[in-house]
Amino acid sequence: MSQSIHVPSRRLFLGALGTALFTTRGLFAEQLLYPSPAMTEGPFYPDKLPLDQDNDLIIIKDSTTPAVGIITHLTGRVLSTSGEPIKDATVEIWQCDANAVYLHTRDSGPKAEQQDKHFQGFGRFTTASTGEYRFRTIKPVPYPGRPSPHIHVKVKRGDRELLTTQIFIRGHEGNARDGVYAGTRDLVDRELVLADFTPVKDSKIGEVRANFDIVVGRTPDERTFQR
Amino acid sequence: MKFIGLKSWWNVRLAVSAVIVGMIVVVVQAQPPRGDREGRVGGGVDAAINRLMAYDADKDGKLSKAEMTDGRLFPLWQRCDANHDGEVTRDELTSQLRKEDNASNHGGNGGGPGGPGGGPPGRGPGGPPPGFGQIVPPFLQDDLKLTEAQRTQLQDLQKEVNERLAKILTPEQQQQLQQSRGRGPGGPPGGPGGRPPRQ
Ligand SMILES: [Fe+2]
Repeated sequence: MSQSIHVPSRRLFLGALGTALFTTRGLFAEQLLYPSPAMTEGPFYPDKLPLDQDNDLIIIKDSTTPAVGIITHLTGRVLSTSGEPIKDATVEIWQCDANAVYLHTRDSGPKAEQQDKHFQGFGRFTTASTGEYRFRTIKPVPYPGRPSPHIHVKVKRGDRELLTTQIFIRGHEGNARDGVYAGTRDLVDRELVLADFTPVKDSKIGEVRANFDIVVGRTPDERTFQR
Repeated sequence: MKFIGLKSWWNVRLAVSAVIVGMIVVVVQAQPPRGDREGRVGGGVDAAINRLMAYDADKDGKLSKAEMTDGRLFPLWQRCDANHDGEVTRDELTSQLRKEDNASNHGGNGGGPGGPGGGPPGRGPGGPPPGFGQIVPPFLQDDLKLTEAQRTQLQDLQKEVNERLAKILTPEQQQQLQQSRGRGPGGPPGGPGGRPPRQ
């Protein structure tokens, strides 16, 4: 794929600084999948991680009160661009609660009254050889200034950060107005951060499911460096 | 104390410009990686078509269902297959992607960091040339004796930087920047101070 309409400034700068190699690779050489695009981490990756960091964000420890919100079963795989499942990848998610409060001193601090104290706000899951991950969380809601409901995702392997991105709801009316979503200029990349949130059949409490495969680029070190 | 002569003053101006350029490099660098290796040229319909056409394994210029091997892109493929014949042509891609690009990029309500009504700085027709955030200020452009082509390229680059700046800054900061640039004829009015684009 060679396009030569104009050189984007970023490439120009990187090229000038000699920090990256730009070898254009055909999709079908070894690569089958486009990497999930990196997206901003935002200001609210928890500054103090919760005591409970498991993959069930609906229940904290052995509380009997579940979080407010539409229960969402979020699943997917962590894959390489050649489609290989990535083992031992730790997927972290964080999002605001149903009242639009993040678990972060600068958000849940001032908004303590508003906060849903039963939502875990953050969770982790480490993949096995299938690359699969699984979370029980709430369907994301809009946040002031962010019309797109979204779930933040970070993928690590060992102490290397492979990717930071966000998951958006396909078809949500807020997406077109969202600075982060609509600010993603590449139309394919926009597609790669969408997930369908569909009703779970026969669920009495209106649960939904969402599947989101995370494709990690082939040069994780470079990504980490560029962040 | 030594009097700063004209020449030194010129050097100061050069140094300031260098610092500004450096800052812009940092700003642009700080953006998340956009996967340049994938042949992206900063988005747009054509870039997306090229990325999708990479899946045209038999090179017949159409994307069949079987060729669409990345399930994540299947919904898009489906939306593009307007006549539901199981094959997506370049024309189908073009018209669907144009539609979607227009729907979000140029939506009238100017959402995102700009807030309702708050246009990005310095982009109104006949608006003032940006001061701070200028990659190569006009006086330097003259001094460097840039060719016409170089000036055009520089303009494109500046446009991109402006757009990105607008995304990075909060409406309040944009307003501030605009004020410090001075308001020119036709410059967009400051937004009503929408909330900053936080998470
Ligand atoms: Fe967020």
